[in-house]
Amino acid sequence: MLGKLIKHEWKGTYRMGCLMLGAMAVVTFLGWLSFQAPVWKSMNGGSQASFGWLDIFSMFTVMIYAMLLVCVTFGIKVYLGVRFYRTMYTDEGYLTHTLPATKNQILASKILVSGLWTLFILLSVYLSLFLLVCSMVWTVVPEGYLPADFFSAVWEMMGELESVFGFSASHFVGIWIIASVVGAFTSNAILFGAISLGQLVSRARLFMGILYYILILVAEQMLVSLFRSFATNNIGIYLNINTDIRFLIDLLTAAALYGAMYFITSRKLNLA
Amino acid sequence: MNELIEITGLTKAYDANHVAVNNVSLTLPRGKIVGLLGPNGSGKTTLIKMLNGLLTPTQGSIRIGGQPVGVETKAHVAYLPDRTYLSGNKKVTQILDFFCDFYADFSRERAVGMLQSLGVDPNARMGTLSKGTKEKVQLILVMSRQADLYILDEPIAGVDPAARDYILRTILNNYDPNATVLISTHLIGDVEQVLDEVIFMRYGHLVLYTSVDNIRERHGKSVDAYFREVFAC
Repeated sequence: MLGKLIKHEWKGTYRMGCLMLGAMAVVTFLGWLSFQAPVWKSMNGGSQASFGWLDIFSMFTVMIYAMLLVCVTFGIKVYLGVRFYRTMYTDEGYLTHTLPATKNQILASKILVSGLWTLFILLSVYLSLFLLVCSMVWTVVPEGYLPADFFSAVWEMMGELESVFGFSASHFVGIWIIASVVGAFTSNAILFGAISLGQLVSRARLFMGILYYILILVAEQMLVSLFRSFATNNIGIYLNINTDIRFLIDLLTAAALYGAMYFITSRKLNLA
Repeated sequence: MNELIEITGLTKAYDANHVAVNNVSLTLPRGKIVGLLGPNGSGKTTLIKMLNGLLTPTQGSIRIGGQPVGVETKAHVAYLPDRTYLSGNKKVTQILDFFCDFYADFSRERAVGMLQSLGVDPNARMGTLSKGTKEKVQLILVMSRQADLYILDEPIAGVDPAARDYILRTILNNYDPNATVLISTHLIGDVEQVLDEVIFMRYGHLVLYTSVDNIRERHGKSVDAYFREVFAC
């Protein structure tokens, strides 16, 4: 049954997911285009082009790139949240909750599919930023200097941080990769959990769900800050611990909210 | 076991002042077409939602085929809600695929046949259909299942008289001696001809549960006339 639920959840979301990925491709092209303007080439001292309308357009495009990147990342989250609310707690919930499937299967299918889309979007954002940095490096840095040199310089810098401040670059990157993959799923569990908590009130349930989501994110941030402040005065270890604590708190919050979601859909379901 | 639905002390209170269903106990047998009747706000839809697991009872219990409401009962209950619950983005054929996947007792052939009879285009998107046609599609989906229990909440309210006749004929044609059909409606005169038994509800209480023949014999009236007498304002 879980396989069937995942199949239909995927079918229901793939149009918007592909649209978002397409938007990311367009956004990335815009970003690349902006670095082709003469103003960027002039920065490496090789060319002395004057600052013209093309350069203004280029600067403008960079701003649009940044804005669209945020819009796509935020947009997929909004879409997945709205879809969860619609299929679980509005008229469409009549179909969802009368299917011969357990609540765990229903919730798992929604978190898995939403998590996959979030992960794809996140990967596309990383890829876009990587391509943009490559494009920038190619344009701005002197000739003969390759993007690979740039990235190895960054890695070396992180290594220096390790020797000076006790910062572990490999630990940081490892946790960052794990947090990106797992976080794609936990972030949706947290969002869906908050929307489900909104169902416990009798009125303005969607509004309350959004409010709970904001409160949960603020509470998470406060907890991270609290634990971080106890950690250490060493900046390197501080950076490592920051990512560790954030990941751990995210994981625990998602687990707690999954439990709450299960309880609400099994014991407190009250479709209007 | 002839009992299909066993309801014991069922209560649903939305808050202290609003008790939608109040201590209802009822046993419904298999193989009957039962009318769930009552004025607006009598608790019919609330009772139906609890039978389908869409509302959590405040007190009491429901067993369908000996099982509490859950995955097992949902596999054997075909439910038609009083609203459109299908996504407007989906084509009718995609919805048939969905039902084929989830309900082992769903007959695609029967559904396609009924769609043709009612002139519904299987390739149309739900969002493009009229309200009445959407209701027809939903009813077709429900009646294309070989379920133990059919729960129909206002199945004929939004359709034209010709379609009403077709729907009632469909209910009768699909009659299975082991299945029960529970129909909630205000249009008593239209459905009376197909009913075996009736349940009257008022203010969340069970007022009457008897056979249609009993009403006719004891009171010398049709169910419609008797309903008007019992619930006269």
